[in-house]
Amino acid sequence: MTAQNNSERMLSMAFIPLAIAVNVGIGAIVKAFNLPLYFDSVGTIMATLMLGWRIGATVGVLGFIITAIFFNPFAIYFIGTQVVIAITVHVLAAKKAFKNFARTLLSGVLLGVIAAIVSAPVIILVFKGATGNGAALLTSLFVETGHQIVESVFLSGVSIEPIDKGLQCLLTFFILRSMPKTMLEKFKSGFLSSNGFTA
Amino acid sequence: MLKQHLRLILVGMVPILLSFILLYIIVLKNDDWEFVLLKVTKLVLYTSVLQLVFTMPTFHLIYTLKTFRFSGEHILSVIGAMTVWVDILNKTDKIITARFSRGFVKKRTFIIKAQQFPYALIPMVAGILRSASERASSWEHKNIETLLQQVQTNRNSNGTWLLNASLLIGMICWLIIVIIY
Repeated sequence: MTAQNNSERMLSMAFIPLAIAVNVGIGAIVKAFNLPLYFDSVGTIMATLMLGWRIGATVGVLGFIITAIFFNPFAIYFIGTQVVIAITVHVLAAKKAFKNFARTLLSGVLLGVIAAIVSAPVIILVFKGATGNGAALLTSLFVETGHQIVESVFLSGVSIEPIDKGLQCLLTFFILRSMPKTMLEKFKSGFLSSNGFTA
Repeated sequence: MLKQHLRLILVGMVPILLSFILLYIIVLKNDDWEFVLLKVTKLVLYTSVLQLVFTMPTFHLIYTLKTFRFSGEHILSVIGAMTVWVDILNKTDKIITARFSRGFVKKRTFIIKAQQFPYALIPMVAGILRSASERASSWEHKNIETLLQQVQTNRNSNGTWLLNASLLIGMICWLIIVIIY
């Protein structure tokens, strides 16, 4: 293993816990308000953009385990969604989908639709539609208007997730844009350069 | 430990119970309280078991992960994940305290602290990137992976690993059976 590879690997290992802290910190604050938004994947998106999908997925999975222990016990059932988010961001970033504001917003919306599709079976099978957050209110609203529970869960997911993931992608975009480029240049194994975050 | 499980009841059980009541009792007018209470109890039980399995002191964690043959790289990531986020939350609190002492924040209530979060985010992420870089060079210099590989598993000091593994496997099987039937 070359010295450069070892340095990059060490940087990835050191960055994982810190990206988890971003996921856990932001997610815990939003959860405390019981908003129909999650904001629990900023660290996952950031880590994927900086170091690729494997690191992003690790951040997402470990972050959700910690969230389940300390803040939101039901987060553990959505670990699979985090892996899918990391893979989707990886694929989108490889196609330079985080290069500017409009592309990032579009990527976020697409990511939201995919996250909603992946989360829906968990919400239906494990929670029977009642997740205990703001999304459950929307599900109840759809049921009230005559939809079946399965349909309502999917519709509430598709209504909330694109907004949530769109905002999370934009937040990540603005955070990375406001970072000094010299600081980001050390993260070479991700998609920062191809998406214009570094020179 | 007790505090964490009380938090589970407050943060987890109450909102989920309320959303079950809203969806099944108020909206669907099923009036099936037995179903609602049974579902909530089951969910809280699964999640309590999971929480118990994953809640272990950091000094036990290293032996448990070694027992399950995790490599030095993965041990480092998991232990870091379990410990570093508290530091980051403290750092964020310090940034908010600095804004408080400059007069940007009037009161230190939870809502006002949460409103300050966007202002704390950029310095927090910049601090994270700097810390990651410093830790990486420090770990590389100390050859930390080799040091972790050399830690001997001591089952006597960690008798809970087998119980944890059994609980986790049992809980997953129970969840699958309940979902299928």
